[in-house]
Amino acid sequence: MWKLPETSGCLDNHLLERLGIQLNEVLSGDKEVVFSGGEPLLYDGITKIIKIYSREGLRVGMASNGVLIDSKKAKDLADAGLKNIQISFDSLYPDTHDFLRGVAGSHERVLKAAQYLNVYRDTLTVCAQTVISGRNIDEIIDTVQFVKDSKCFSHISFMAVTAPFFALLENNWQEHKEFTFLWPQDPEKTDSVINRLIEMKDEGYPIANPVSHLELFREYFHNPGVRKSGSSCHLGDNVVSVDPLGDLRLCCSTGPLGNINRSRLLDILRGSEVEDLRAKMRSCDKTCNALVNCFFKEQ
Amino acid sequence: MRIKQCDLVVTENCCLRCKMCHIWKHKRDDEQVLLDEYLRFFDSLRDFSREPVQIQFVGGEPLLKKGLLDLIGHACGKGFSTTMTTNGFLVDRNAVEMLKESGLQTLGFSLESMKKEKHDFLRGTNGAYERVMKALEYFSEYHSPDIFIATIINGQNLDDLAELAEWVNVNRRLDFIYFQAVMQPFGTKENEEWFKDEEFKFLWPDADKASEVLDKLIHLKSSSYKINNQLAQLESFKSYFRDPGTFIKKRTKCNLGKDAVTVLPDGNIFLCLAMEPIGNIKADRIEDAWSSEKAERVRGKIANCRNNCKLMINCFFEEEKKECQVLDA
Repeated sequence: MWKLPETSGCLDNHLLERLGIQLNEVLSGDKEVVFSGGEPLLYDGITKIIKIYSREGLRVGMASNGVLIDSKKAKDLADAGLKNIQISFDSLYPDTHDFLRGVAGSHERVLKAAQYLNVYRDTLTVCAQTVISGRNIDEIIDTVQFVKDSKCFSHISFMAVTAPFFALLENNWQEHKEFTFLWPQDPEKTDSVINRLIEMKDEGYPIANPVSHLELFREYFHNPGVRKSGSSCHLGDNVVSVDPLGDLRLCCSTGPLGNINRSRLLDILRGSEVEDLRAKMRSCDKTCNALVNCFFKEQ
Repeated sequence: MRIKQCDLVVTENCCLRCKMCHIWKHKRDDEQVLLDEYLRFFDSLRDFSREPVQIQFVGGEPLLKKGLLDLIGHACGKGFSTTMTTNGFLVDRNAVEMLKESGLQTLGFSLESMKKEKHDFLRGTNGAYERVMKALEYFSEYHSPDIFIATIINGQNLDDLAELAEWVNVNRRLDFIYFQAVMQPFGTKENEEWFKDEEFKFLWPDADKASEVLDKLIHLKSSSYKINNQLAQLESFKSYFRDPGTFIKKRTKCNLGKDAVTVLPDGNIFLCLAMEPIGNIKADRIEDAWSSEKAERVRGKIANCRNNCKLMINCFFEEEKKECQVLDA
């Protein structure tokens, strides 16, 4: 994604500030809003927006690479009312993390960020976000142990590596020589790592994923193309996504239902096609990585 | 009558913010065609068409389409000739290697000027020139695919066109340059007088100056420069810039609907984008869509269409046939 030009689209600051009220109208339950990117801390005025949303009673979270968080930024975010932050942390070993992130020194900065944020742990959950890949599979267990011992993070949450954005390949992307290093090559080893994670979870290690999610990873690494049978997509009923151009979607492979620059959220979600799309999504049986990672839901 | 050319608009998303095309402002992909559905489409196109078929991968920016190389690879494997046009922004060393491996035969890069500031201005993105030049440099290390330059003649680059043609001519890695005339930007409200609009008039060239530059290009083309436009097309650009309102195909009828289809990202198949689709590759086999009642209806409309359509001057230019005098023996 970082290869794209900076002009690729940016939501209007004033619009985002005013969107809190609209979000309150359309969200229910925990009313969770997650800022992601790119790197959301590169968005000017994000702290102010978090403050406004928190005041609105929304539960605000963020996914960040952590590199831009110093002690002041940590305080600002906590003061603004941020409830949950997922910091990318690919290994306890600096070389691995810095290699995967493509930036020297990022490991050190991430750990510092976690420490700064951890000061506010009473109100802010700081979670390590680790993408399981071929490059760190041998270090996963040590990384969990580190998260438990160091107390920088409250939890560790795992994702499974999928085709990078703009990988140009969809089928068997992991077999192309550019990407083979990202894919865990030894299925037995991968199984044993994931089995151990499941044990550790049972033993009380702070692993955020439910056991069934870890089991799904095990299956995914054996056969990335196959959708877990019997699972139906819940995204249409639970999640809306808005991209930097303001387009709102329920499903990442369908067209936008509307644009928040032009329409109110409530009006978009009351649109005539929305229920049809939701029904279609519930019975969709296509292979989709969205359900493997961020949007996994226990059956 | 069989299909010879298929324009596959794989995505309408784009990473640049060009002045000559505004699709990026609001056009977003509708429900996309899945990889497998594309592959089935290629299979049915292969079965249907006895002649060689050219598939053009276009966008938006086609490299933003996930799985694009699976598509190109499959199309090449099926024996189609394949072409793609890109703005080059995302073509890094890795992409170059993968494009080469995919079997793609011809790759076009959009380049508006050899002056960095001007290209970046027209493409609405800093660094666009540098990236496209870097991409061309990477490709200079390989013999395939064939590479051409695509340039839109407009009010901002008239002075740079001859330089571009010269540069292409001496660059051994480049096969040719292809010029198009600026049209009303895609994704803006239709307006016959668009070029007088405050927002766009900087794109419209002075007619006299355009004629002068086009004469120069015609001269270069006649001197065997690597310019891929027909002489007649360069001539017709002159009259288009002089009077875009009256430019229209006069004698020959529109050639759309005879041997080419365009497929949009939602899978809809068109003979002419200004008319209704004749089917959708997700649901219809191409031979059924091609000979459907809908298709016949659209062909009838195309035959009678007298719209002042700018497509005829660019992608679908066809020299008007001279009326032959048949002499008695």
